[in-house]
This record gives sequence, structure tokens and C-alpha cells, in this order.
Amino acid sequence: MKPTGIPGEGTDPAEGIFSGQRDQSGEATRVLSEFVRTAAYESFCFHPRLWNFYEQLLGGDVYLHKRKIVRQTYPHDPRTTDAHYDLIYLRGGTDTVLSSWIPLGDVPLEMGGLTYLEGSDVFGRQMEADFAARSTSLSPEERLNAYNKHMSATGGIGKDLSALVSRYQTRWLVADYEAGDMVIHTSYMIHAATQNDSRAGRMRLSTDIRYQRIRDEIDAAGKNIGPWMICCRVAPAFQPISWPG
Amino acid sequence: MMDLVSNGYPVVNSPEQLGWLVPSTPDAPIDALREQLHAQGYLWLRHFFGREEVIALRRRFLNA
Repeated sequence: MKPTGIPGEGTDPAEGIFSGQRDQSGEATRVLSEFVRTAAYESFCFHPRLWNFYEQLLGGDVYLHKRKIVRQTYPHDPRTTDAHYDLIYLRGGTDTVLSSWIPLGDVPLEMGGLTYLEGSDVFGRQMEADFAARSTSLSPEERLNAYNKHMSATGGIGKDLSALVSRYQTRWLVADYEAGDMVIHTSYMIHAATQNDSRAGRMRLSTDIRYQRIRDEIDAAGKNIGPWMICCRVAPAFQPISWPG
Repeated sequence: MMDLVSNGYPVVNSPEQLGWLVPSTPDAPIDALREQLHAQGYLWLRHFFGREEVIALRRRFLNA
């Protein structure tokens, strides 16, 4: 399973040095969608330490969302994930779903990665309350897609991160992530990605996995029903997905 | 801090607009971690996995 174009000839594959040739054939997308179905990846999602941690944190039996994402981010690719919070895309289920972001390899600051808007869990909750108030005249199906009516075209909150800082009077938080680290966040926490500017030309690899209590309501995306299911993306840009109604 | 870019927009690089995540220890008491998650909206769990476990997955993906 070798994503076309990476790694470069004569380099250590674990380094993930980008060859400079991006896949044009769709092969990279196929490789990514196969990878999340491998036993190696699946068993990682069920890692005993991870599972025990979520059971204790959530206080009950845990459900692993079927929709998992592996992202590969090319060096100097200007398209990065817009600011958003996850509930926008999971509105059919519980709001107590938690997301894990796990860097697959070191992700020092120069390689970008996940950034959080400090204190934004509160803003996300306020936004949801506001949508709910504005959506009272909508049918249940329409309400699930409320972001189409009340939010930007992609469901995102914005591409210009510093403009959001001015709007919310807060700041973005970043880190030097190391292989082995895991970041988790609530479904209201606003986050985005910054550009991979690896001087060595390394690919940024990461995976997103979501967990919730099994007794809470599960969004259709988590149950993975429907033909729209594509587990992974080659492009790092967060693209809108049409959820079933 | 170094200059960062997102979606083609520079991220304003000042202490008022850009800061560091607060690190957490995975083996801290779970009640304390839950409280911290509630207060911050996130947890940065340093060295949650063994480094080699994650590198092995990376290597597998990159076809080592």
C-alpha cells in the first residue's frame, strides 16, 4: 500500500519525504480509503489504552464511530482545514461525542497541524443555541441540515483564523506535537489546521477518530450508513459532505 | 514563535493572538482530566501512546 508520489526515491519511507509528484490518478484516495480498513489501523482504534481511557472519561461503554479519517498533508500545500467545530457535521447524534486527533509522526510547529481557538467550546455552544432558536420553524430533516441555511456554504466558520480572533477576543493555540501524543476535543471546540511548511519536505500524517457513550444517540455519520461514505481525504481542505437526512 | 499560515492567510503572530496548548499527563486522575476537558474544551495528552506504536503505523502507511 504505497500512496503514489510519496515517499521520494531513496528516502526512508518512515520519514515520509514528499517526492514532489502529486498523484493525479485518484490512486492516493484509494490507498487512504483502504488503509482505514486494514487490521493494523482498526486495531489501533481499539488500542486498549485508548479504549480504557475513553471508558473512564465517558463513564460507560464506548462506541467507536465508523467514519474515520486519515489525512496526508503535502508540504507547502496552501489548502488547510477551515475553522469549524465537529457538531456541525454530526448534528444527528449526541453532543457528547469526543474527537481524537492523533499525529502519525512528529508534527513540530513548522509542520502545522491542529490549532484550537482558546475558550471556543463556549462559543460553539452559544452558536448551537442560536441555530436552534432560528430553526424552530424547520422540519426535523431541515433542522439537521440547518448549517446549510444558517452557516457558510461549507459549514465552516472561516478561513482567516486571525479574523476569528478579533471576532471572539481570544487567541489560537498551537503545539509541537510528538509521535505518541493524542489531542482530544469536545464537539463544540473550534479548530482548524495550519500549513505544513516542513523544510525537509515531510508529509504530515494524522488521523481523526471519534468516540461516544454507546447509550447516547449516534449520528448517521458515526454509524456509517449510506453510499456517501468516504473515510478519508487526500486534500487537507475540509470539504462539505452531504449527510443523509 | 514562528510565523504560521492557514488557508493562505497569515496567522497574526503576537502573544495576544497566538499561544501554546496546555499539556496534560495521560496518567493524571481521570476526574481531573475530565474537569480539565470541560474547562478547556480540549486535552493535549503527551506521550499517550508509545512512540514506536505510532511510528509503526506511519511506517505501514508509507510502505516501509
